[in-house]
Amino acid sequence: MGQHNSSSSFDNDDSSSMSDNDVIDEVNRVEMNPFCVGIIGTGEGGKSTLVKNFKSALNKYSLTEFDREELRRILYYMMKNAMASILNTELDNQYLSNNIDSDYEAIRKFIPFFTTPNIHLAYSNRHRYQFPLENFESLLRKVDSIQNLDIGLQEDLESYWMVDLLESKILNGFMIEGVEPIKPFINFGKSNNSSIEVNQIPSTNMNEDMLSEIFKFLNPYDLFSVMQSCKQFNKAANRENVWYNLCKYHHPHISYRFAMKTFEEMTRNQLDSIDEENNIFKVYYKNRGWIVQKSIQYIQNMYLSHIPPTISYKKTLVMNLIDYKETKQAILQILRNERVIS
Amino acid sequence: MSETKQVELTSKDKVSFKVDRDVILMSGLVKDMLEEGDEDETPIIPIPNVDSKPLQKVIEYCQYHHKEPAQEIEKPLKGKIEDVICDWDKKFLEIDQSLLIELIMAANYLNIKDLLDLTCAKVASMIKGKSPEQIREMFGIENDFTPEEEAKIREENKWCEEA
Repeated sequence: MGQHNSSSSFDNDDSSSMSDNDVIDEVNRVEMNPFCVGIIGTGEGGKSTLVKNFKSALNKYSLTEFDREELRRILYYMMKNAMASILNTELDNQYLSNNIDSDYEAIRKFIPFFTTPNIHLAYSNRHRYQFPLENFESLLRKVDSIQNLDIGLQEDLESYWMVDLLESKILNGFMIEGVEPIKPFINFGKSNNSSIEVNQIPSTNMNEDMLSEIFKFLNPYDLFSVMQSCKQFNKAANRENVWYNLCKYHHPHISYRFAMKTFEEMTRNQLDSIDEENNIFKVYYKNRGWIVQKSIQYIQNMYLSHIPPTISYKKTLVMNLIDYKETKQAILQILRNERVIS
Repeated sequence: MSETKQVELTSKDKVSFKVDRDVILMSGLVKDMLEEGDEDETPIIPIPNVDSKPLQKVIEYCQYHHKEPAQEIEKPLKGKIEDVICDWDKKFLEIDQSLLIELIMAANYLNIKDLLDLTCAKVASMIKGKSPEQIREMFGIENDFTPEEEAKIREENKWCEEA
């Protein structure tokens, strides 16, 4: 993928006639917080690139009037496209005409349709399309905190940068050097159990099936203790259903086939194998879905197959964040919550 | 169709319980048996694997939860089970350990998933944070590993400590 540069990549030209205040006024007129729109998205969705473009559009010293207009048009176009393609499944094409004029009014037309139950449903399933589940929550918390700050536009943009620094962040444009790998698996760590007294539980009648039903509720740390206690418990703790649930917690889409396929792909050149004690889900979990170690290739392939073409504008790569299907639905919900419907 | 139709369950120790049909349909086993059975006024269903004491508890659970479906308990448990279940369930679980185990077996046999989850999560919650030795003590089990086997398991699964 191409590289992207920050706003400094724009040629200097001070001939702009539109002041920051004009832009701010316009943003206010839209009656939504555009900064919330940009940040919600699948990892590698192009969030920060969009911010950069907003930033560029707002920086009167780095853009000509023409640049700014052009950029705004692109941003509006992307927003409109995103909205239109969601509604595509529910409406006829009257709003999807070849109308290239993507201004605020064009976007506005879609807003009333954002309240459909299907969009709700899609939004409630958004975690299925986002690897690190925990990040979405933390993201929303950050969004809240930014809104509560009630600060000016420029500061908002600065906060926005902070928000963008999620754990799952891989630099846009797949510039991967020096970037922490994503951490889709939470470290459960050691359990705290204040009750030190040991209550006797007669296990004589319990078979492995039932033991594994119990162990399903344990995290790997506690399973480790269980495995060491005796042979029967060790066997039960290594059951597939126990590890399936652990994998499922992180990757809700996990299936035997998916785990196996990933295993085969990832171990093609390795000696790692599944022996009788190591079930596929345990191996998958042990390798953390192969996401951390092999994350870059995996994410690249995955997102390359999903992300629509990018728009190259001057030296800035604008990735079509809001045209990415699953991301859009999340954005829409945010739009709704932002009371954009007037 | 069924207006407060009843079902009679007979426990292992030959105690009979009359239960509303709607209530006991929470049990997958009973449901299957009733669907196959004829339209008796009050069908008698033997539950030969469950004693009266746990069966009584099972019925109690069904009577409450057939109208008030239990929330799914998250796997794995992040904290204590008491933090994620309703007050009624908390009270329900104030029972001695042997009855708790009997309940697990009963829920398993009668195929009542929510009850099985609740009771299993309770035991899991008790395991959390315990050492292998404490777990052995808790379940009254012996360490039947040879030192070599134990070392092997520790070595192979060491990664769990960081996972």
